[in-house]
Amino acid sequence: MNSSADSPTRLDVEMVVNGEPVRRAIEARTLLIDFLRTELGLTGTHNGCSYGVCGACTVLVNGVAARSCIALAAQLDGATIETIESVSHTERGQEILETFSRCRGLQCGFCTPGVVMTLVELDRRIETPNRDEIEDSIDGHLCRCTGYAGIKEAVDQTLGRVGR
Amino acid sequence: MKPAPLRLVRARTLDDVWRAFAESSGDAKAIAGGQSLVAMLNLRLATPHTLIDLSGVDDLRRLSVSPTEIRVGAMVAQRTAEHDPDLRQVFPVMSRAVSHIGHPQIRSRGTVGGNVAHADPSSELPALMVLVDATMEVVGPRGPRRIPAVDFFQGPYTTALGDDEILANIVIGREAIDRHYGFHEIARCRGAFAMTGVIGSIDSSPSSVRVALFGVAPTPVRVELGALGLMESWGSADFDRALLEHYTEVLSPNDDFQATANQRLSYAGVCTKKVVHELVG
Repeated sequence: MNSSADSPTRLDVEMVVNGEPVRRAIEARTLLIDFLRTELGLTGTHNGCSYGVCGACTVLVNGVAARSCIALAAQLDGATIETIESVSHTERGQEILETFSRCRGLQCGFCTPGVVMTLVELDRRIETPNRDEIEDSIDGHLCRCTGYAGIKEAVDQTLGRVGR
Repeated sequence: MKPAPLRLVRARTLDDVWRAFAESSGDAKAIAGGQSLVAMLNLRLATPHTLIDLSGVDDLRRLSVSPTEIRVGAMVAQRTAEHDPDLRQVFPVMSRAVSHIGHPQIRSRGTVGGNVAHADPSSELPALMVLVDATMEVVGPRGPRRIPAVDFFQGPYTTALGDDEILANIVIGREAIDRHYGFHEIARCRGAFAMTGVIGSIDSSPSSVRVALFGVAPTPVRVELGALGLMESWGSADFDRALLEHYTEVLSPNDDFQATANQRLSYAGVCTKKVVHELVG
């Protein structure tokens, strides 16, 4: 039996991150993004604005896109987390990444991990998301390089909106 | 950026919540989805000693929808309220208002109760609550209280909640459910905080039209366009004049980096006309 570190300032958390069960004792104030980057070394998720606006830190929490910079890791005990590192592990994920590359959906790449995770969620839906939902989702990401045309093209091609 | 050191108590029951409040020497804050609060922690605009995490309290997560009453548990995710098929059918204005909160990536963690209890003057749901005379079911160690929405919102980010109370449910009654609704807001871009917005409702005749405005005063402002006689001039320039006159009196917009007070006053008129048009044509 593990001895528990649990106290209000230092808490035990267990999550499944990219398919791997992890367990850590963390400071109560630890943000999900710092848990991923610092505790687990998953530095693919980027910290942009730190207040939920830019979308660079977007990951999937229990299959749904969420901002890891404004989520406390200790609130997510038992959650399943997916980050950009998991995307290339599936054939579909590879296709999405290749589509971004082909469509020039990135330049510096800082915002890309977040955009891709939002797209992974949309792509998994059983019902094809409508134009409004797609735009609402992509609007949740700021990109300072490409001007969005390439990103939107990659999103459209991934979701089968236009021929490849 | 990261929050200052803090304590986090992961409550499972309401009793856990009261105990944590009692043990916290008065500097505890309940945290729901954290989509505003954690941003404020990161910016050190809030530095509570203790956070009480409500996400494990299942009693706060119930959503029940019938044609006569809607009860939304405070911890119902905004995305759930946005997409729930029953709610969309029975009270679509709620889903519509929720869809303007941030982006889908925010609404996945953000909760209905968290948004309402945060009481941001530019937020949609507080205005909807005031428009529909929603009842705020509040619970605390001294028992439950029912607070009408109009009394709940007391100022920017300020509500009638006591230091050791939390919002448990929002209740919307039949009279509100049976009305028809219109919605319009002006924001710099989709997902941005609204500079000004209006939600309106009607039952059968134009004399029943009322609106609630957000982003133009410290709390939502409800205006009975019908009862004030303003609807009698709808469609003529007199309506615009009378509306502006009334709004100048009852609204108290601020200047900020997004818009001047005068712009907001003007937007209030624009939004109102769009909403009234949606309601009566």
